[in-house]
Amino acid sequence: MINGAAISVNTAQHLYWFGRYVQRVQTMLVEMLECYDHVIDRDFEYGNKFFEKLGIQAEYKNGLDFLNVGVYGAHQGSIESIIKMARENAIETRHLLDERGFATLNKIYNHLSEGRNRAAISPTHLEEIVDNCSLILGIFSSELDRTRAYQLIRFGQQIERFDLILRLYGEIEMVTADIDVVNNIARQLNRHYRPINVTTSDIPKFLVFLNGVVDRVIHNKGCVPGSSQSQSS
Amino acid sequence: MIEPVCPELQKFYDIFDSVDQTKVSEFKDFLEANAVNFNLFKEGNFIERSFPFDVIPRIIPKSEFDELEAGIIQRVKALNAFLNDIYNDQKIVKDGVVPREYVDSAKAFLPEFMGVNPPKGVRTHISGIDLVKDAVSGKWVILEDNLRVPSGVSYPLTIRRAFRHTYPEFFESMKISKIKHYGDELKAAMDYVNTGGLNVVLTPGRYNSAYYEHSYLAKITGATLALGDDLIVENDEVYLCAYNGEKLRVGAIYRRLDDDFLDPEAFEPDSLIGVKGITKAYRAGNVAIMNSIGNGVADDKGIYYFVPEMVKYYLNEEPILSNAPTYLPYYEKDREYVLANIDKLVIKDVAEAGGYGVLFGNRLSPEKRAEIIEMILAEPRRWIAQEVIEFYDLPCMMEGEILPRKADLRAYVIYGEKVTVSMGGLTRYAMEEGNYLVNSSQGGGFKDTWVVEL
Repeated sequence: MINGAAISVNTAQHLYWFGRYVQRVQTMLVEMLECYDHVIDRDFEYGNKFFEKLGIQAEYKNGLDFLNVGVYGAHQGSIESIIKMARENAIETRHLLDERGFATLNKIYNHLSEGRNRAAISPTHLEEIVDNCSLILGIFSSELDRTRAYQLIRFGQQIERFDLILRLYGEIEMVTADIDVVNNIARQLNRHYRPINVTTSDIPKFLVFLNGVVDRVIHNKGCVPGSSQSQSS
Repeated sequence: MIEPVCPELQKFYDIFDSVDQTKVSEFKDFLEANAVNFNLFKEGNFIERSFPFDVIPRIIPKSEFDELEAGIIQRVKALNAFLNDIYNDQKIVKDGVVPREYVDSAKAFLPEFMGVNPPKGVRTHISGIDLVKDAVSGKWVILEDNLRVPSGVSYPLTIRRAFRHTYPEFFESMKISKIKHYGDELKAAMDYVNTGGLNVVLTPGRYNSAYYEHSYLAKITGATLALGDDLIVENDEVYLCAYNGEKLRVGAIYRRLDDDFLDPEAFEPDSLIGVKGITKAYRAGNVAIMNSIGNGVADDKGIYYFVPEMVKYYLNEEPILSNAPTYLPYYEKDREYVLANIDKLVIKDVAEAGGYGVLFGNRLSPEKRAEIIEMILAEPRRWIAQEVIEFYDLPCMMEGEILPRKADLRAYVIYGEKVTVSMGGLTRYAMEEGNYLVNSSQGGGFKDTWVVEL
């Protein structure tokens, strides 16, 4: 049996959320750096519009303060809190994760926690975190013997990508173009999975639909009756 | 007293003098970056804590370790035989070697499991044997046998890899026994008793103090890491609920939780971390549980007294390793000695573990001493007394200085098709000078243990 091939429901959910949170950090930071560029000398309100799209209520005084609020602000969408959740999921699944990937994430977390009360955060520092997120997600793609764990992470990444595209840009076409990517991963993860098609242009409806896709891949309501298999270790 | 420098340790110092010592800080960075934690609960709060590490390893000459290894294997074989006997015919009791009172009143003895025999007769799959080196005799002395859920093996295994990366000079110039086979040996032991199905490491979860170790062991053995609610029991067989809805049969479970929490149907009904019905599967012989249920009777502090006798009784051999001189207040002669010499002895509550319930007679106030004496007289079975062993301090690097600190050794033993001792172990040291309590749960640190051949 491939190392870690038998993955429990709990572990699968943590892998999936690990993928989602790391992807969320990466995308959010890229978007925040883009906003920062606008806020400092083009459109001060640009940052507020960004926060609004994500349902975040926050105020800032200048470009660096915008970044600081985005990273450390007292709201659910702060980068610090997302990193914390990514790390929690990584701790739960570290037996299936690459050690360098885990350590890189943990270092980001330690660094952000330590820097909380120091001087304002710099764009360069945030760019480093973006690079490290790419590194973390990239490392897992080279892990040949942990295929299912990697696919669960990728699955989370893709769902998060769709979620952010819809929330930030409202473009359902961008999602429909990539729906086969999700279908392919889902089929690899669960042979009972039936591919989906996008038949709605209603974004809130589609977001609910996406959650349904996840439930069809990761069964969190116990085992399927009569599905027992005997496997030698 | 600090342990005299042996030629092997001198060689370490010689090399250490020639390497870049500023790189010592890399170990702390490594442990923090990788969250190599031994977590603590203090006043109800969960505290993530890196396990303090000292760069100077405990070095044991190979010839000395060979004797230690033979003694430890002998002891674990005897303990396994004792458990098989005590849950079956109880010959050792009938023959008067161990008093029935000591077995029947052992908190961890589970008479309801009489006649239940684990696969291949192995009960002590993974043991942690705690030893110290007596500074007076220069001999190793057994302090404790841990046959339930001994933890700690992941720390030397983890740090050894970091050591090899940071200071290859030691490994190039010294013949240091390898410990990296531990994962393979543990897997082989799981496979040996597996009844057909997956190997699983059962963890109480992320907030357990040794969770790092649980995930580490799953990783190095390729076993599936599972929480209690990931497993179900149907028709006396254990299954893993895989994420895709399939049920996968489980053949061996390395459980990292105590008996009390293992099965809410059989033990603590409020346990949320166990697996309902798992003991039924165990009774039916459909799953191996590592370590076996009911092992606590053999590492009871009162039963410890009798282990040298067990070696003679079951193996017909003389014990290679000695216990610390121990007195049982249960016996009148011992009780008189204990009461007369309480100031010189260490008093231990047999129900406690992890350094708790250990009282040094010379540190007791008159009121506390009177209270303890009263308790001993009321419940003699609950206490043991031991001579204070002046065990060696080891050199520890603390804030740039080399300082002596009390240290013990936990040796790890795997009982599979054969019995093997990991060629190293976890050396734990006290953070404060003169403190005899080295337990991790008491805030102690750890060192790697090198078995070295010149």
